[in-house]
Amino acid sequence: MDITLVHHIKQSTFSIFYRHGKRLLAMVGVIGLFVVIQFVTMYLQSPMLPSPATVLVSVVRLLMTGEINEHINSSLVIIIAGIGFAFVFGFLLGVLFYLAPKLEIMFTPLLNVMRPISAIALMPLFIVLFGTGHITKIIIIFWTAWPSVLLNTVHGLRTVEKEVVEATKIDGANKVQTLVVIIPVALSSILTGLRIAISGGWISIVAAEMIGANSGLGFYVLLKSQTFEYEKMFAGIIYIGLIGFCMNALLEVVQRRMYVEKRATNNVCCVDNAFWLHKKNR
Amino acid sequence: MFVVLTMLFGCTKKTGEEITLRYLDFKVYDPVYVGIEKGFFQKAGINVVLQNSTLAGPTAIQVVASGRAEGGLASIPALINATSAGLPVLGVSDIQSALPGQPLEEYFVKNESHIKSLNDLPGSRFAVNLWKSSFHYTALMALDQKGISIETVKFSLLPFDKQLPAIMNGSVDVVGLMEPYANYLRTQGGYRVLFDGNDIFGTKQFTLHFVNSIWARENPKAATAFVSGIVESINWIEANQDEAKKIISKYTGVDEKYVPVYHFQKNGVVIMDDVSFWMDFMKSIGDLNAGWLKPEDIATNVYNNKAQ
Repeated sequence: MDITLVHHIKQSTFSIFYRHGKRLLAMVGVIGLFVVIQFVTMYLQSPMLPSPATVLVSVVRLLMTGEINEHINSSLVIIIAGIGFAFVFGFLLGVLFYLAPKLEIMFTPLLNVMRPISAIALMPLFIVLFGTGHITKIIIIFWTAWPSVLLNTVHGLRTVEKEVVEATKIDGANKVQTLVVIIPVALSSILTGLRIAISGGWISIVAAEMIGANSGLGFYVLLKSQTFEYEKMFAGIIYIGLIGFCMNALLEVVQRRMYVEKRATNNVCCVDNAFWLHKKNR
Repeated sequence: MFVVLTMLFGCTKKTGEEITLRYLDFKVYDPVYVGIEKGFFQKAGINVVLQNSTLAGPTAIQVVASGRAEGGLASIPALINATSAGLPVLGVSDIQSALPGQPLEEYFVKNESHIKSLNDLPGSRFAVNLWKSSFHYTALMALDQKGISIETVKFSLLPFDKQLPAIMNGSVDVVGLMEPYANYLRTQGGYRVLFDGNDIFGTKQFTLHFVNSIWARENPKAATAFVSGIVESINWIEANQDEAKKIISKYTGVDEKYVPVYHFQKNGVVIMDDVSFWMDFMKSIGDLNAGWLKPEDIATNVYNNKAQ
């Protein structure tokens, strides 16, 4: 074979591995785990442990027959509403803490006491206050999700480069105008809080849908567990994981773009500052 | 099929000649508590150890089927579902039966509720502790008897303890409870019984003690000893209700004044006709498709020496 051609093939192969190495490794991990579990389940032969292949068939069948659709929609509505409220609340509180640090000092001990309290422990209270409808489920998701948004918002705003903040002050910006400038810079950290919130929300969905539910992925998993339909139960669990994964991946893409923009913004600020300082010194 | 699983997890602990049975209790009126307290199991030749797990129904079935315990309690519909799914469990003695004057399942509404009779149920919100359980099925039977479509009633899933605040704040219209929750609601005042188990199906057995069927097959003497201990406890309870209340109160933590006088099927036998009754109902609504399943696959009196 032509040496140039061999060299070209080698380079292409290396290039593919270089560019897609992480994805390939992740796929190897998933397939490896799949194979191991397949052998374990084949060895154990228990009706409580269906093989991954059977579960995958169930995953596809549930989608084809539409059996799972109602439950996915129901959970998505609750998750989006719960996370949405948590984001708005956590973000606004974070901004407030940034603007008024004394307020943060005043409320931090209380928030630190509230944060570790599980939504499950508060369920009887939520039922008394909000009943057993969708609102209680949304509140449970909200309760799990808002602290991470708050903490990351405060962290993001506090860690914006001093030069950026100083530049706005020099330009005579008031606090609100400063926020307009620095929030986009802090957005990457805020989105990290949102990603953690989404993971927490999906973790809580099963608990939330144990209460007064008649639809939703958490309810579906519970129902199939109670009626010993394990293939469908594991399929429901896989749907929870997959949808959570997709939401996280989507935010990761947005966050990556924000990071690029943040760097660009910082550079612009630095250039602006340098130009301004240059003019001032002259 | 389950031998490997059973071998893997270990099913039975033997201490000398005496066999130990790990029992998943659920803090309800259970003759197993009396059997332990009065030494009836020891006398029968088995050491019953409570797991203090507060598990029953489908969860307990999963633990027992996986070999991490040998006995528990579950409703007959749950045992039917489990057996049709291939889990190795077998009902062996009575624990909850709707008997004359002892409905066990009671469905409450608020005094001021617009629901005055079963005919008013369309449009109502109904709470049940488990899906496809005896409570859920009894409610479906009630609707069926009145010719009311299931679609007109909104069922939601709520554990017994969560049903109390739910009916109190009006989130649901009807709750299905058993003791001690039913008695708690009665003592609160402001609630009335809309219907009970006796109204719907008369007298029926609906919850059984069950064991791992592989364990029972491999240890028939131990299974017999377990059931013998339960039967002796049941007969002792029937003759000593006041003293039994004290024992139940001690083991469940429920105040003695809330522990009711309690009755069982004579000699704790499994009523096979009642097992058939639940199977037929589940088939009629399309919840049981395993045509091969027989009542003898669900429960047995083989280990009950006093069963006729």
